[in-house]
Amino acid sequence: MEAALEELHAESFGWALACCDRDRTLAEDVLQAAYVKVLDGRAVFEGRSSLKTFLFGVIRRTAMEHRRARWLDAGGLLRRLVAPPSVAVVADPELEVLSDERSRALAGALERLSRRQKEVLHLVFYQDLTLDEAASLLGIAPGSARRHYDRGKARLRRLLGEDRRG
Amino acid sequence: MSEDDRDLRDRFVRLRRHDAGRTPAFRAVLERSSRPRVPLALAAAGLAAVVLAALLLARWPRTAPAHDVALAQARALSSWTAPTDGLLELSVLEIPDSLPNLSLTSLAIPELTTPATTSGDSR
Repeated sequence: MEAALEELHAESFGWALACCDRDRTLAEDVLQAAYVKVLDGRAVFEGRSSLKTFLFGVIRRTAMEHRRARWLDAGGLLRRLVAPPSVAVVADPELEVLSDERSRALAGALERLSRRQKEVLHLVFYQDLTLDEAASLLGIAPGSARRHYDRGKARLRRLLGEDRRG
Repeated sequence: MSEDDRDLRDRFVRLRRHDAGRTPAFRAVLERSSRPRVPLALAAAGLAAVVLAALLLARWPRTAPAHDVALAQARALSSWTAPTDGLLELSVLEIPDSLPNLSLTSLAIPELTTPATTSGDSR
């Protein structure tokens, strides 16, 4: 199982980054916790889907748990009270290191979509999953995934268009 | 696939390449030690303890009152009079110690005559 996880590692890290709003430290924490869950049997692969889909589901759930824990984390709460989060996406350090202008614009625009839209678009365009696979991974109906996909794509184009004009 | 879709896919491919170049090693992720976090409940308990300690310290008597101070306080208390004590002094108003003698010499009180009752039955 460890070898199979290692084979999917790069894609898993990309998905973890997407689930953690491109927070690299959080993504690494989430990925480690997800790997440990799979390896110690707390998350069992029953073969009903591909290993990639199963692992991505574990990563997504783990990211949700970590985000919740981080929200309740006293240090995080204090930071939010002292300095409320900025709307400006360029403040994201992970975005700063994106040397490619087009990738930076995409990552910034993705952060302004709803979580569902962002997840569906990432799974389809970045991970090359089909819409049905994305729907199954996210636990939503295919029709609902299609709606998020269409609306997300339209919004993303608008945002990228604004970016080009700006 | 439309032109817009191709543009989006191209952007995602570039982003994936960028991420792939910065992916940490599998072993490093598996064996990393995550940053310890302070749970909110623990922080709240700590804060409550600090506030309680501060309150106790603020209310705690700093030094025992000195003997002289205690004596002065006792004297001040013993000579204290209520502000309404003056109301109880009757220097102007005297209360007579006997009843006044009322002689009714000028007042003639006619004698009352009771009508005589007729004897016998009216029936």
